[in-house]
Amino acid sequence: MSSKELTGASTIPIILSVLSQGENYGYAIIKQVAEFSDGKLDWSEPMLYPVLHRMDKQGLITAEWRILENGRKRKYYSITEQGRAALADKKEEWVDMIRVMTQLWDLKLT
Amino acid sequence: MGGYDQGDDTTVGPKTDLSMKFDREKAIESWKQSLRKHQSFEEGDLAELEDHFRNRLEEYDSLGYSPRQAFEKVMAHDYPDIEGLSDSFMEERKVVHGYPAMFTNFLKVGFRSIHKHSSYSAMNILGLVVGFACVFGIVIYLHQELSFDRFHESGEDIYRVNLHMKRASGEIHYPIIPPALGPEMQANFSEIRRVTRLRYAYPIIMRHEQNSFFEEKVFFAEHDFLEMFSFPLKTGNLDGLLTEPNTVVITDEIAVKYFGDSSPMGKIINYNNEIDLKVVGVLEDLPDNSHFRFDFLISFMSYKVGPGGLEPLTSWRWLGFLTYVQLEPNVLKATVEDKAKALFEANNNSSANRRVDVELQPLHDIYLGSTDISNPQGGLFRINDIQNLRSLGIVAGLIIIIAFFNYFNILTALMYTRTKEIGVRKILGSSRWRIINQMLTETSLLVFIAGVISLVLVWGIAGLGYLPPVHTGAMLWVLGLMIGLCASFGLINGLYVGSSLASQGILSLLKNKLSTSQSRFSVCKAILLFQYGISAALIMISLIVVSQLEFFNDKDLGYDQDNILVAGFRGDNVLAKRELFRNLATANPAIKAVSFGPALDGSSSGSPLRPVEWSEEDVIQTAYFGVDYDFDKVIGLEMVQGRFFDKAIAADSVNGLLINETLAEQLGFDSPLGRRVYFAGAQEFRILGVFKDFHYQSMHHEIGPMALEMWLGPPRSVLVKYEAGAGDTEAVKSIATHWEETFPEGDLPFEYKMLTDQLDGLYAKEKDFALLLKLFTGLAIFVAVMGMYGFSAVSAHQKIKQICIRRVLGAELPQISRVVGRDFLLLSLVASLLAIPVVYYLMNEWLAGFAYSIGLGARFFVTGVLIVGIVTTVTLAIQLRRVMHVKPARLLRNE
Repeated sequence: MSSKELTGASTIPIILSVLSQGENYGYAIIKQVAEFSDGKLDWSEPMLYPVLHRMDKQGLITAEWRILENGRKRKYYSITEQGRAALADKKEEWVDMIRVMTQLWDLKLT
Repeated sequence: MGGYDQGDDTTVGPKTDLSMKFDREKAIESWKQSLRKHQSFEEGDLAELEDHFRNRLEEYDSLGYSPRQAFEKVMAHDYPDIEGLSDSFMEERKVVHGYPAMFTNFLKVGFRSIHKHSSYSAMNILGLVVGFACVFGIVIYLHQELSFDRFHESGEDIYRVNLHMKRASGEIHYPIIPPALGPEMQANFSEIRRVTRLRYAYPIIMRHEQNSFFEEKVFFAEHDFLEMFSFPLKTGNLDGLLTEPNTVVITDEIAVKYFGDSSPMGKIINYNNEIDLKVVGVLEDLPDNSHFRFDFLISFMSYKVGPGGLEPLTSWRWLGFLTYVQLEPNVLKATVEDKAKALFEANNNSSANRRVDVELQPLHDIYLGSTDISNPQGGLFRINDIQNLRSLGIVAGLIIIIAFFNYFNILTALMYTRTKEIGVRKILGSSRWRIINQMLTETSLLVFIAGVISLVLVWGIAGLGYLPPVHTGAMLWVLGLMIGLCASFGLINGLYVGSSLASQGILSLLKNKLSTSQSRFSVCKAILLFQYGISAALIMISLIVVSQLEFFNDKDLGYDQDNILVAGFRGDNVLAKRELFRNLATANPAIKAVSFGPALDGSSSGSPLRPVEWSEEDVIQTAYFGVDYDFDKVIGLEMVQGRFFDKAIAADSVNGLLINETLAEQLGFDSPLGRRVYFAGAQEFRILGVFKDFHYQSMHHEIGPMALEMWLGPPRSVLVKYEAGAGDTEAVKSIATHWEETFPEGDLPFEYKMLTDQLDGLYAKEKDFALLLKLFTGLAIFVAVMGMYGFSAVSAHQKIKQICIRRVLGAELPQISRVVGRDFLLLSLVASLLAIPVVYYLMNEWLAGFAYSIGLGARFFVTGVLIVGIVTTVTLAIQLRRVMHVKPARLLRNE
């Protein structure tokens, strides 16, 4: 699914939604999104990391480096208050949009 | 791309790895190294990407892939395009910083882009550097030329007094005027604050103790000269300077030449073995933008009219003195001119039959506004033709246009190679403004780099002495120009390219199909057409200018200029030695003849001439030389009628006159021989013969009426004709020996020139100009070729898929060259043809300024077209070689 434009518009709300369930790192976020979308959203790496970095700078999320037991470094992201507020706004916009679409196309959402 | 060969098995399922042992850690490390080459990744990014990479590997491991297969899978799936990844990291970095951070980021991206497209960037920068450097150089030169005589504080009020004589034989503007006019103007006109007269001393021997030199820049000057003009004194007091007889003011350079380190003040310099002059002041060396050229200023009252001088210092007829006046502020020069004309007419009784105007020429106009003014002593003052400056200005403008279009073309073409990058940026949310901004920063950066390099280059060239010294004024001009040029180049190009890219849809960007690509390529082609046109025009113009100059060199002057040495032979006391030198020299079989007289340096004297039976109204202004009996032998003068002066006939030296063919024709007699004419102060002369016209002045002037009279008084120069076989060095050596025999005391230094070199000097300005023109034409063509090369490179790049497919299908070089080259050759041909009428018009005007000129033959235009065609072909050939060396398979896969 998803044209580039739609992907571009939905990336940030999706990341915020995933992180609202708890802190996470890039690879896991991608996996989780793929899982939720039954593999329809397959984010390639170039897309995700720069977006995460930008959201960090915008104050929507924060990042923290951790050292794993095997000595590897991993960067964990978690949502901020500002991020939660932004998510609430986005959620409203998307729900409105989906309502309009379903009514227009007479779809039943399960 | 990633730099890894992904192998052929990446799409197949799990299988045993049979190949040699795969070192995963090493592979990861080398993958990280390949990322590090991109400056867009910081260490944190690398760690995060590595973590991601390892997670993925573990995922494939768990599916049963071999380490190698897992690695290749990850490379193929997650990292197919490291360039793109790098771009998106870089793009991200620019977002949400403050403006300064954003700007720094743009700069980083800019530098990276310059680095990434290094060959195009180098081409672009080189083109701009050459273009800018040319223009800066020309500006420094023009600034110097336009600043002449501007350093005099009262310069606005200072004028040179010229006479404008309108006679039947033509109009003459004369800067040397009768000695009485200046003082009478000062005595009678309240509008005049100061007057100063100068008398040129001609080349003369100056001596201090044992050091004697031939000096060419010696003037007698009145006291007010140094009050009027701002030539700063290094030593001495301005009050009362040059008011005492037998005093002299010298320049610093002369002070060092004669006195070394010791103080020259109060010391004696002997003038022409006649007068002992006391040094009373030392001037700073003259600024290089002064039309005056003098080394010695002798107090005017030291000047005595020499033996043979026909007129006193109160004369109204003797045209022999430079006169400068300083008007009171706010006086109209026309008022003074009218009054001066009346004064001149009232005092000059023969002026009733002449129509003479007195002209005040503003000091600031002298250097560039004196081309139609006689410059009787050749190098008396420096002048330049404003026309040359205009031409150089036009060349500078053309070079700027070429450089601009060149830049524009390469940039526009480059745009096509960057559509994917911009597409990715747009997906990541780059706004239209940000893309424009980025392009602006990139273009400006490139232009400023070029600007700074060219500035340093020009400074260096000026430092080496190939340009006039760069004064503050010129420096400010160049700096201002650099900033202006860079800003406008960067702004216009950045805005154009940026907004074109920003207005494209993401998909068309990613597919590398710009919506208006056809029209944009047409714009580039139109520009290329223009560039070719300018280049072709410059080539043709250079060819014509150079040919005209060669024409000067080759044209028959009407006399034999070869194997003649000219040396200064001046001073009353050397008169006695004249025959001694002649006898000693002519006794040498290697020396053919010796003649004392004119220096043949383009200067001549002039006087009105009329046959006794003509009315006083009708006079012919006639140039003349005073010559001796051997003049004809030295220069090979050819008599058409009558005879040359004869030593055996005493009357010849009293009233004999020879005239040239032009004068004979203007006189209109059936036979002019034996006719009596009034000439040179209303003396009666008899015409003895008519000689063949020869060029007694530079070829800018048509041969006018000219006469030769006998002159046995003090000569100015000696001309020595030697045998051709002897060789210049040998001849000079033997002449020097005779010179030493003649002047054993060393009282007349032997300073000489070859006549041919001296004649070359008459065209020095044209030579300099031709050299500059050739240089700048070469550079302009270079820049244009760069533009063409760059543009054809990019357009070949555009067509690379087509070319490769053709090659795969078996097309050979000829077919391929048709694809790449046809348009360019056609463009160059059309452009060259369009340039022809423009050049024809311009050069016709230019050639009209010469009395003798080459015609505008077809050969110049044909050669111009051919040169442009050849340069284009060679450029294309290089381009083709590049394209033909690329492996089609690699390129097609790339696409």
